[in-house]
Amino acid sequence: MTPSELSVDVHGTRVRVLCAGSGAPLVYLHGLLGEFTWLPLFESLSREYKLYIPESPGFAETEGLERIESIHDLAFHYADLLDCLELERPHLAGLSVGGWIAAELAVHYPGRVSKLVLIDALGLKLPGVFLPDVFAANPRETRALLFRDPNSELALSLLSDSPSPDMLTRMLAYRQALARVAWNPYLHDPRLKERLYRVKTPTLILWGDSDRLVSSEHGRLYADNIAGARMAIVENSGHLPSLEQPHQTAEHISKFLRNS
Amino acid sequence: MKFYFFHLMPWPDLPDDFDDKSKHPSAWVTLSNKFYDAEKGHLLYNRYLDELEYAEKLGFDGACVNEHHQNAYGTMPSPNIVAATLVRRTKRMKIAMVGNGLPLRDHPLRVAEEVAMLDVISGGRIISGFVRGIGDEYYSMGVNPTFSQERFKEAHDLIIQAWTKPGPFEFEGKHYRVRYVNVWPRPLQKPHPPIWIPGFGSKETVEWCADPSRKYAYLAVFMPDHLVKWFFDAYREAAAGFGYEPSPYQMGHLFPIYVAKTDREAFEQAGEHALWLYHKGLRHKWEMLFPPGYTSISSMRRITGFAHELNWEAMDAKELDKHGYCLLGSVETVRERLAEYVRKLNFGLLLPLLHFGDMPHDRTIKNMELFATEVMPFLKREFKSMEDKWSRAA
Repeated sequence: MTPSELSVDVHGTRVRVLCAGSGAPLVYLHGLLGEFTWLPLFESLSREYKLYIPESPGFAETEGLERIESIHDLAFHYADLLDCLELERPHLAGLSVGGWIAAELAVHYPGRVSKLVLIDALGLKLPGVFLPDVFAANPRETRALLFRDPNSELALSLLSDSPSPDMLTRMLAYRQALARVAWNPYLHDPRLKERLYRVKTPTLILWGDSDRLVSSEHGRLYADNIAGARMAIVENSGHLPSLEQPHQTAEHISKFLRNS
Repeated sequence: MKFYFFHLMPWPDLPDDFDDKSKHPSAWVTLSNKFYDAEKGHLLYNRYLDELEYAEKLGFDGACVNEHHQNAYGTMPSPNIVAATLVRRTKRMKIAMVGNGLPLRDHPLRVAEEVAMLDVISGGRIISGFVRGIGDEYYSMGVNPTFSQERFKEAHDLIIQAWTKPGPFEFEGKHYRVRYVNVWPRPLQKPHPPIWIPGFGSKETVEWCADPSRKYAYLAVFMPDHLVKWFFDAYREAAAGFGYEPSPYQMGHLFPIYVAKTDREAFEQAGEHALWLYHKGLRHKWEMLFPPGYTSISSMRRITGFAHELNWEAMDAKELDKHGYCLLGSVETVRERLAEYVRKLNFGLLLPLLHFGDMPHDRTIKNMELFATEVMPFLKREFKSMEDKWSRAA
């Protein structure tokens, strides 16, 4: 399926949105690498759902980072985007930083999310656990942090040791966009855990079994703090199951959205 | 010309296996402070302060101190504390803090107050440098580097207003909000102490310094010849754009210099210390030197483009000297090279780093004395017209 690319004006910020399929609307928020391309996962999901994949401010070609100063600004930004797309109550899924934003959005606007899927979501921190530094990591170390197989074609295609000018720009952009909201407190919102009780929608927590950035213990923390949340593990995957294990990820998501 | 003796106060006692980069990828952020020994530190601070004070006896126009955090490269987390020890032990020379790392400090008014105190105590001998702090320090201090530029500018504005505008008044910034700005004491120099901005890599900073409302001195730090020229040209171009000709005292150059009897002696005595500075003290992890958002993406692309030219870790002392990262030589060599430099680039502030790396005290003193007696007077004579034409305007 070939997605169409929309350009949506969200209060002065031009946002690119990939859109494909038909069925109940499902909004998917990309992860920390700003992987804004048509992935095999989307191919599967778009068979059952009308899929919307927006690009976050500051990542690659989407502007507006100057208006983003905290994770809450991103939650408000995405609530505005839902308004612009006239999506009253879509399913919401997010990977990594996208999962964190989805959780914050569901906390701020519990009524705007039909069902929630958090995949290796940032946003929570286990006390005393020192999270590896994704900002200080060079491309090789970043691949090792994010991928179960750091030398796979997939990992190298996103994070090369000698990036082309375009890839370099994308890498600089994702670091900057993530740091804007996740430098300190590092990759988390200290108030999020105590606010998760506000999430009233059926929730699936999906986690890569080999996430070396945020371990599945963090997923467990989400599951324990959202009433009725279910947790499932994606086998043979690091921090980005949507990319590393698209079929498993798609199956988990479809099953959950159909049956919950 | 004016000469300001610069000191970094490095920590020379690195672990024996420091050459192993896989074990010690950086002298910053992650190098454990278990390698700091406070007993030795006590002696070292006092030795370094003696060297700074000695600069006045030797006739330097001033002495410079700076701010760096959590590293072996320079052990002055607070330039204001070092300056405070110097103002009462000196009578004539200027004390330049180059400078306070504004975005790294929680409150700019604290800087405004401390610098004003120093200016009043010293009888108006303070030069107030402002810096953003280098990238590693955003890791060490936990400050978000994506706000670095705007925090710097806003803190600067608040400090200048606090020094020049009668209080109390309200300051409404994005990062700093104060309902009653009313700094006591106010600085002695009017409208405020001179401001110097050390820089590396950003043309925007040069243009900001050259703005006629500021005319701040821009200092090139540890740059190879062609980059120093590039930045000074950019300064003159920006000033011309604003419709004025900048004074040479709006441009300064800071780099390591060592003077000996012969060129050979200079390399024998100081080559290893220059290598300490460039191979050890300045050992950074690239991703820490350039944290996200600290430098704009377009500047980062430019810097990545010429990064291979800045590969000082691969240069020996001869190459460092050849490219202008340091200047080691006989009196004649140092005189000639500096005179040629100044003739070509027409800058008025020279900030020689006369102690660097693990240089021992006696060598430092000898270097300072030779520079002060043989090089400094020569250059002052050679560029007397600069003094006559510009020193009042500066």
